[in-house]
Amino acid sequence: MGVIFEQFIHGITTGSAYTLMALGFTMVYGILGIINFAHGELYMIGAYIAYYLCLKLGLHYLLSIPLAMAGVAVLGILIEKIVFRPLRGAPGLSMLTVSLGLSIALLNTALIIFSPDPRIFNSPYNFIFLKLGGINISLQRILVFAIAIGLIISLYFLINRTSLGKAIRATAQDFEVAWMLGINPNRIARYTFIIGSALAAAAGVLIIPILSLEPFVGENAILKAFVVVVVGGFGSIPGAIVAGYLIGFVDSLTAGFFSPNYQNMACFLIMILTLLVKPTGIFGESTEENI
Amino acid sequence: MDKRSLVKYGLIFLVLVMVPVVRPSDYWMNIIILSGVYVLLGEGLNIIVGVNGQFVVCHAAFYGIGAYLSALLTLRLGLPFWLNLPLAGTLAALVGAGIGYVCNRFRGHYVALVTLSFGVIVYEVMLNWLDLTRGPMGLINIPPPEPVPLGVYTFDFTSRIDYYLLIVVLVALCIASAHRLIRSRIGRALLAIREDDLAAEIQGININKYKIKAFVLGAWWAGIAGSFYAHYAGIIVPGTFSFLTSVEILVIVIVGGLGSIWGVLISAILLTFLPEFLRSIEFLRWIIYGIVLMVMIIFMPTGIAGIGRRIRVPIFWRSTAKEPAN
Repeated sequence: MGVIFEQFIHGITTGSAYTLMALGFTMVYGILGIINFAHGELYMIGAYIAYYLCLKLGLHYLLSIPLAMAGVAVLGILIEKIVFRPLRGAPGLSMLTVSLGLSIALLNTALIIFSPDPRIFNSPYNFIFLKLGGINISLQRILVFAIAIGLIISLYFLINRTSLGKAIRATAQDFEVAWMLGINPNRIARYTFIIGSALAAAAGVLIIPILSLEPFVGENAILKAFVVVVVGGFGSIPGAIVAGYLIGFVDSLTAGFFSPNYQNMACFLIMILTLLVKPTGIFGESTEENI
Repeated sequence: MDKRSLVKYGLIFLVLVMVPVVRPSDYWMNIIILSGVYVLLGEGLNIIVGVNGQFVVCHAAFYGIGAYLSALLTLRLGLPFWLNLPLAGTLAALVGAGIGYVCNRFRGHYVALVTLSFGVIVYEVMLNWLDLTRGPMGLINIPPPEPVPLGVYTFDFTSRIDYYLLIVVLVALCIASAHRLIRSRIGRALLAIREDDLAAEIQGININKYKIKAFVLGAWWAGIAGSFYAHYAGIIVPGTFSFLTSVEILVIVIVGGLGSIWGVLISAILLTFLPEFLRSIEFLRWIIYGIVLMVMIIFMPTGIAGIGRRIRVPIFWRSTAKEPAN
């Protein structure tokens, strides 16, 4: 019984991280039509920023979270302006390829700057435990879930209760018409990237203390984000949330009951299954273009 | 054959013959032979991505399947290389057909995602199926191809020259078949699908059938390349067939010009030799790759072929490289 509960907690933790990743990714896609392969690198860079803030400046872990989010948001603004804006209107494959190039460039820059050696990024909450349901749960896991929920709720308010959110929703519905109605697409693009990048960074800072920190973590994160977004539906925020936790559970349960070696394969099988059964995902709408 | 083609093929023949005459060191022979392998890989992917317009990022998986099959057939069953070579191509082609079938329902980025995950799955299988592939340790002591007596000279593959000649033959076959393919009915259908698949379907082209054909042809050459590589290098590990390799091959095709045979040829050779001359900044290699990819897409989407077309280099006059839609 305790084992199942433990896996459940692990599933919630991983699911929270995957949801945050997928939310950022799906927003950039849904609003701007951009598939950003480099989203994983944003997650990785966020974790490294927080790591160095805590290590070199001695900042408290909780403080490093918003700072890392801000740092990566700035990077997101730069990326939007330099890499993606020149290609606005280009076929989707150009976007894909350019974000692939960006991902490679960022990954290898990180490899040079940070070296491939894995590091341990310890949050103080890694060492505080709660006894629940007969097992010890580290407070970090609960923190991940709590902050993720907080961010998701904040996102909800941002998208549904602010004028910026309204403008974003309008652009997501129809880019050109929103533009015609006076919504500045550059502003929307910038804010979308700020939000998306910040969410990726948050995912990184929250979950890396439970894993280990090395430049390749972004690769794994983006692969899982793809799976979540396909299962949940490209561009759908509720889809990202539901699928995020679903894939989190699949991931953890596979690692727990079978072997960590099969985690990726299990997630990809779910993705292929979704593509065969309902290609648009749980909450997705089918558009003429892709199916 | 008109004068221009004569000059063109004459020059190529001259360059090819110079190699065994000049007798480069083993090191450079290796680079030359590897560039041949990358030409095969690039031209194969070019058929799928360049000519047919399907964004496929799992080419290294086809390459690896060919390599592992050929190596295993020799190591476990003692089958000769000359049998394994076409078998490797065939298996890779069959797998390609399967993936092509799955991808038929989708377009654009869904194809990229499906092939991406397929590539990762194949890689993980290579890494984890220890009984078959020995996992990360890979397969070693793969024997060279069996000797081929041809009159005065016996190709016994003890020296690199024999491998060189074999890869030249394979590349020549590949280029020739790609050349004929593009000018055939199949080629025209593939190009039509690339430009506008809805319009192609309305014209009566069975796009599903042709899209699978593109996969089959592209994967076949990847399998051939894999088999050659396995028996040339003697050792194969899963790391050679990772997603990064698929990206490498994709960069070759994009830099060459999507759909251009000669562009991809030049690009493959260039991108295999270039790292050698930039050894001093080897650690920047992948960053440069990433930046090159970005810059090419933003500023020069038609690649080498596009540049060739613009400055009116004769080979590129009738190039089938994809022009960016505007």
